[in-house]
Amino acid sequence: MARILMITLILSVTIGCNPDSGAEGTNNKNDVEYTQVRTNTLDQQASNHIKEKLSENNEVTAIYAVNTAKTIVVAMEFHQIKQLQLPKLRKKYTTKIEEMYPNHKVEVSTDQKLIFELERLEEKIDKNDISQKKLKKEIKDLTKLMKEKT
Amino acid sequence: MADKKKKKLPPEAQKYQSFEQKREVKRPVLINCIKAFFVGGFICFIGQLISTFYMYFFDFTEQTVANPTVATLIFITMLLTGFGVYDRIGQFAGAGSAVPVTGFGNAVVSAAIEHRSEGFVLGVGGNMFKLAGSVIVFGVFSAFVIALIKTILIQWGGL
Amino acid sequence: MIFFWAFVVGGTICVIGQIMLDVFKLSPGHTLSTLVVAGAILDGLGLYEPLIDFAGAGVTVPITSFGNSLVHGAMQEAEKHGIIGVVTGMFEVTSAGISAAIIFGFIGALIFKPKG
Repeated sequence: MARILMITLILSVTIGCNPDSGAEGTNNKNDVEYTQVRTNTLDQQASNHIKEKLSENNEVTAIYAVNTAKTIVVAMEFHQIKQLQLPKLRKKYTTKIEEMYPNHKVEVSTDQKLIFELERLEEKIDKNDISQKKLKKEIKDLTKLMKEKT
Repeated sequence: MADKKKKKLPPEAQKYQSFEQKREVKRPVLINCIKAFFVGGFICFIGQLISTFYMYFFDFTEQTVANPTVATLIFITMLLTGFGVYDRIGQFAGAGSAVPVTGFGNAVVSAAIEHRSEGFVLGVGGNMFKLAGSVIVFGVFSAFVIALIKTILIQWGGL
Repeated sequence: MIFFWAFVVGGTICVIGQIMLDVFKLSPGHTLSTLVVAGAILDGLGLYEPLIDFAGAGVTVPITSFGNSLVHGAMQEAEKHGIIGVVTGMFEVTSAGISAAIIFGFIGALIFKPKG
């Protein structure tokens, strides 16, 4: 029994201390993880620009963003200790991005689900595996998901 | 300090004191805490695995994933309790198995199984919340008081 | 990273429970009830949500989260419907734990045999 518990503790520390080995093609300004998505038929210039700009902040550890012509959805990861101040950080970065793109609707999230979903979406966009209409629907679904409370 | 106490008593009582101290089962608090830490932490670790699984493969966000996580943990607890494994974990881990929600589940499930012989309505139904009832009662009442105070403060003061 | 903190913070809450049992000599019923009330108080002070962001399941799995979700449900409903919401909204967020316990308790009684 005690042995199983020791092994689990060692495992959890190793998993926890491993640096995120996530997206390929990571740019490493400040060691922040994000991907510059190739803009094909879907214009992701706004998202790429936001990712580059915001990764200059030391507190950000990863950032994913996807945009349509009218909406920008951003998911951010912060250093563990900053996790105690997430509402403040969300507000701060929403204002920053709204200043950069005043004509877009901006949604900033720190939710793990959004991080998974945006990572998948970015990959699809990069491979040009998704249509404009589908992208709009996905973003609409994601913004609805973010508002759920139960 | 125990010696000073001993000196005030007659010799028979002193002998009994030292006899009793040798035989008394000392509660090894530190070891219990370490055991509780590891088992409790392990259960929460499993809970985090389950949460991440639900968030990755289903449509749950961090706000909503606690529900299926708790339900899944209680399902696992039902199996462990039914096969008698949870009681052994409980003997080893103390609070480490009682404090997580699995302990709550175990209390309900084991009471239900135990009282089945008395029938389903009176036995199972009547005794299910024997141990868990106080948790619900005090949880609900304290939440009521706290939410009431907070709501009044917000309405009067614009907190 | 969150796996590590889930382990540590969850374990710490259990150690607090163990201290209540061993040092303060409270019964399990007293200990668990105290922890639930503590969870409710922490959420009233706005301290439980940041802990959830920090430690995830380490804080949503222990019984303290029960107190937290009760207060949460009550506050959510009170925002919409005023003071009466404090009474009506409590179990909206919390149903999972209790429903699961009852349902699986019943199923357990159906399929498992009591030990001698």
